[in-house]
Amino acid sequence: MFDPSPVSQQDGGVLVLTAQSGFGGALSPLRSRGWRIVHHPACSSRNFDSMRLAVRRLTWRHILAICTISAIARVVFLLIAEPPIPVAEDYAIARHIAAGDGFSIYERGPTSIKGPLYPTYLAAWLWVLGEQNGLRAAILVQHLLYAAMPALLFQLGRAIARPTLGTIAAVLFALHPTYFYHATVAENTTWVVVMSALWGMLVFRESRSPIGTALAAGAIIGSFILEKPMLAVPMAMILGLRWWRRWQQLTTAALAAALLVLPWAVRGAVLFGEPTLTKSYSSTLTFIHSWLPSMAVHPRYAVPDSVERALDSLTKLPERQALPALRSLATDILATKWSIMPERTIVHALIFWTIPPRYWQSWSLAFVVVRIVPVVLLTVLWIWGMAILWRQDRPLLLGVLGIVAWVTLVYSLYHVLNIRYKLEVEWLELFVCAAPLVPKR
Amino acid sequence: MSAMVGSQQWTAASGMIEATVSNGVIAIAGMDASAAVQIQLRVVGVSQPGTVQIAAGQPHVAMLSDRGTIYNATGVAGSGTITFSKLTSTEAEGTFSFVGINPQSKLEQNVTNGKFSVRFK
Repeated sequence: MFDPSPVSQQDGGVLVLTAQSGFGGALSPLRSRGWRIVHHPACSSRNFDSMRLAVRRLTWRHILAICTISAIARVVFLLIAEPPIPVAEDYAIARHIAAGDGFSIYERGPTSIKGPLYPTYLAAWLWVLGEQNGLRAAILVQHLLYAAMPALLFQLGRAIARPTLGTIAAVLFALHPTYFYHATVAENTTWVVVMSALWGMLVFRESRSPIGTALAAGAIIGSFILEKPMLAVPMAMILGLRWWRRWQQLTTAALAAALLVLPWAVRGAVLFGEPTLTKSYSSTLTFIHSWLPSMAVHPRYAVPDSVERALDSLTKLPERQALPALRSLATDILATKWSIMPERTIVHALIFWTIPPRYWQSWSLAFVVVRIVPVVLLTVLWIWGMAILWRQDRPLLLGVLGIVAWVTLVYSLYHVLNIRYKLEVEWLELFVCAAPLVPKR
Repeated sequence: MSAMVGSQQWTAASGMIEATVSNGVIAIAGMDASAAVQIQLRVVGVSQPGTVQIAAGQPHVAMLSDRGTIYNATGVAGSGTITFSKLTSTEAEGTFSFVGINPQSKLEQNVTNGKFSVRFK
């Protein structure tokens, strides 16, 4: 009855077992040596055999084959369909960097509206291959990163001692049409998703080089502080819990993160008069945007037109001048609208989990296939999976739920303009969505 | 005339908005004060309030010129919607949104939450 592959984790004297039966007295020697035996709730005897069957059906080789097929499909898609590449501020900044104008945007000059890493990544490609081919190459790399994601999810599943869920999540990701298409967008979402999964794998797997792992995990957290600060918060908390009292690893990770953030903070202090620890200009602007009559999801949550005009003028100013005024504007909005914030946050959360209003007119077949269908299917699987995991694997469910709830809350407090926001965490939901798909015997 | 270009708020400067109606073609154009960003809408054969789609087989066009890069939504590439909430022989009011595509580089830009309120010349 013992399946060696899912016996997963030996960590600081804790042996996590994936079956509750079949070991008999075999565990006694371990207990006598001080091991604490934990029976993994996801792998009760009731579904152990079916999980084992699923693991047998899909091996690492199968997952690599899925990754290869996904990579080929993506390259063919890029070559044949030549899809348009949606661009945003990152591309505008990248053009300036590649042209030797520094990290600046439009006519506003130096900017902190985006973190430094993704625009620099784009700029490197633009500089090497020129504007047109450079951007296509950057997008191709993003597609290849997503093609590798099933392998990361498979390994992450093993690292967290949920191999079957990880395997099914890997397959779900490979079949997820939004993730197939969205790598074409010139924004940092693809890197955020892949680096999140990589970070999870690094932190939860057994490492032969704890300091190397700590350096890598810390560097990734540092990059998230710069590019996606919202996710750096749960990452830091998980790291603290996971490496509790492992001061050497925690210190190494903190140093690696600080080293990555420091140059950007110093630049902010020099150019804008305050250290740019994260994206304060962008987040303030985003918060105000969400209250504009043209952007608010309901007139109840809209400020007067005069704010829109004020914002229009402020965004044309250099950021050093604009930021204090933007903060003051945001504070004024909060002071006048605080009583409606809880209601707005709930409405935003519902929108975050469905389709933001700006897409409500886009009912093309492509949009239905790429986004509506996955939203509906994943919502059904998510609810179903939560019900299953509540009984079988509450720690995993609460962990995923905690991260997803945090992301939902932060975006709902700010704004829910864009579909891509949810993609940053949707891959993690796949572990819960996988639960109903664990084959029964 | 205003819109969100990507995630940037754009507002046409006063005096930099033009609207004409001629031979059944309604043309509305706006430019910001620095002349960096320009949006043009062209709608054919519409004489009363309603919504038109920019899609294959339709003659309507929307164009964004963003710092020298052109993004078109036409019957060939891109897509969008233009809604006239008010349309008379002298003035028009409404909303628009479109996805423009650069014909050479295939770059794509979203224009959303567009609004216009113009008097025809």
